[in-house]
Amino acid sequence: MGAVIDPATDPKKTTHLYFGPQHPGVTGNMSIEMWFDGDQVTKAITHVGYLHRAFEKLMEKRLWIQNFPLVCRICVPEPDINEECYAMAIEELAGIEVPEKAKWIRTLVLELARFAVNLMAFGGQSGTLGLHTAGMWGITFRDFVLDLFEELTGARIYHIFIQPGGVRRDLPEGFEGRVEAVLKKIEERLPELDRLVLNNAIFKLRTQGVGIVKPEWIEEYGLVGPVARASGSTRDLRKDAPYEVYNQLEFDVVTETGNDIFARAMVRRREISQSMSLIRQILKKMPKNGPVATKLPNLTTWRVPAGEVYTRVESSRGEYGYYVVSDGSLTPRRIHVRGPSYVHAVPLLERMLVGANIADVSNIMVSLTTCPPEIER
Amino acid sequence: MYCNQRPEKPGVKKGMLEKINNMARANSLWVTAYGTGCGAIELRPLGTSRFDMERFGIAMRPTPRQADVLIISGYLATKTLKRVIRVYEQIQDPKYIIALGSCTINGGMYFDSYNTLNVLDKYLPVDVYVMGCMPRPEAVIDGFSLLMQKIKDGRAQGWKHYKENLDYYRENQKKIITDWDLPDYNW
Amino acid sequence: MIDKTKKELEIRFPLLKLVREMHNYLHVEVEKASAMDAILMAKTSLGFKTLQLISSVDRMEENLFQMTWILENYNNETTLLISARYPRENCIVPSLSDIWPAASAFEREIFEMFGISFPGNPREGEDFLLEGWKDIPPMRRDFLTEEYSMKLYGERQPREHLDPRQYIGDMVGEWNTPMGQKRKEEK
Ligand code: SF4
Repeated sequence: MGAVIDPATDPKKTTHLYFGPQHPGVTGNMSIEMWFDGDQVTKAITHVGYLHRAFEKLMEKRLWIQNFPLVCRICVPEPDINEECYAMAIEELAGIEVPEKAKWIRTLVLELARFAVNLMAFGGQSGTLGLHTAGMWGITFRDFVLDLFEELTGARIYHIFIQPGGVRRDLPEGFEGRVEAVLKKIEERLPELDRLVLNNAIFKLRTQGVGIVKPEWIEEYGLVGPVARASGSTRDLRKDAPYEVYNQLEFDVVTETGNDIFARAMVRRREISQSMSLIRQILKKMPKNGPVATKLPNLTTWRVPAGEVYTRVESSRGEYGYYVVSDGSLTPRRIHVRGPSYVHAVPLLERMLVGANIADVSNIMVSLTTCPPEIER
Repeated sequence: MYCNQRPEKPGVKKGMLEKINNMARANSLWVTAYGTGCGAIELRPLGTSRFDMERFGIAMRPTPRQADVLIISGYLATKTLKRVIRVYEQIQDPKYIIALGSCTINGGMYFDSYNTLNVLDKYLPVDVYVMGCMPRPEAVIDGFSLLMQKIKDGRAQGWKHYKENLDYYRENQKKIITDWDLPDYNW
Repeated sequence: MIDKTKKELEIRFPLLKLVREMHNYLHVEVEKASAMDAILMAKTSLGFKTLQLISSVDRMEENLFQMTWILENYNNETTLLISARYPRENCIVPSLSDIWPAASAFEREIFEMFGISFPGNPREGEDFLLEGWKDIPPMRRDFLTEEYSMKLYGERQPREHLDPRQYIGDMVGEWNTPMGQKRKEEK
């Protein structure tokens, strides 16, 4: 007796439930512990760690180049971001120049990956509301893009295509035409997808005004990507701190001011169109000839010069950061990955869910596109 | 509430009826929707019209109580193993496990990680392994058809095996799950 | 932009060491006693309102932990990294969780991975990534993950064939597990 009972977790008034990890509404393998009063959430705790593979420890044991197969597995839907970020860090530390053509190919790969993820995420948002058709379409469209990746890199999911100082190989012959064909095929279908999702009364009712992210949280929590841009932020690293050749491409940063799930879906939808236009621009402006990689020293004895650097890349979920520390030995000293989901899924989600309705929980979670592997690594 | 008794030893069934049962089981494999590792991302294209797993009678089910198959889609962290055991034991008999990827076979690229298992065989009875990192959707379908064949032949007996050798599996599981707080028998 | 930040930090903290300076990017190292002051100053008067990451590096040879706070200014896209070194034994670092709510999660992870304590963090000690961990914190340099993995999950079997098909096929049969034996008999 005497202990103060927190009203949010009072066992007499609230129900205690676990959501996940085995649950079809959870994005990936994570779980939320929640207390409900009626059907309102009074407290939520995110549990992560189900996918912890100790990447950062393993990377300290492997050679610099051996880490490329590891880093791409940190984010399953969009692995190229990790390779790019890690390669940028190594280039910065070792002072390697990237040839012009390689920069264009890298941008193409990154943009294709973002395109694929956004298709899946846009469809997936309606999938949680029972609109499975749109979810299926999104995944099917993504499959066409994966075919392009397969042709370019040899693998559907994990490409291991970007390497320090360039990319692994040049574009195959006639690749531009096939990219254009895929874009066209998807473009024809997109209006139907829009009609199915954005004009759907149920989708609107369930998403407008739900899952509000207040604009003042952006700086407080460090929100990035579509989550921040749906709340009025105009930050996009591709524009504000351009890497590779983004400064030579024309595009506008997508922003919405709805603050809710609908606005986030809208941002993703508009970024799909944006990616398509960017891919077309890249293919048009890309130089036809030139080397695609710099020659690297013997990789088995390659010592990257000592130093510390933090590199950032804009992924489909927001700013992705790698903090790389080298002590001049054969292996990295420390690599710390800062995925955008880290703040979205742990502090932000815990705060957003308080007061939410039980039926909206998975909807809110999917709208943040939390990706557990990048939280846990 | 759990059944707190040791599982009974399943008897060996033979004969025509069992054959017909197996035929029926093989053609309606329902899968628990639990993505435990990276392989889960290739399970979603399987549901689309391109690969269309429903033509084989394979469907995703939200809860283990309705499912027959558990797909271990990659590496298992020790924290996940605990949940997977719980999920597996809640599936009704007969049940099958398909393991995807080299991580489940021998640890794959995380063989020296402190938090992922190396040989899944020691902790759960796996019926079919699909190799690859990560296996393509076609390979997963291939794994399913192998499982179907095994069921039809009456060879997919992993669940019986698990019950018979429960002590062996429990001992291994408890060795790595240091804070074991599950009931010992939770069928 | 970054010049002004550098100048103001230098005036306030004369012992400051410059680690790296690039376009819109500054990394400084301060004395451990003035680390919190520097962070607060960056937040209140230099405009670095957002905390991106708290990271730590184990410098075992020097018996030190290096903490790094990565701050960002969203208005003009500048990054400021502030580092400080703390002794390795019973390492205690002030918590930032009352200034930035996001700091709490980063600190919980570092507590688990390095054993660095952050007094003032209300949720310190809650399980974050690991569950029931009993060994020394795993990200410390003196924790040997390969040995640990070998002890707990068993050794990786050496490769006898170069043909993957044969290699994986054989290994599944040769495993020293009951299911493995069964598969061998079936062959
Ligand atoms: S086998 Fe490869 S794809 Fe599968 S879980 Fe392991 S690392 Fe991931």
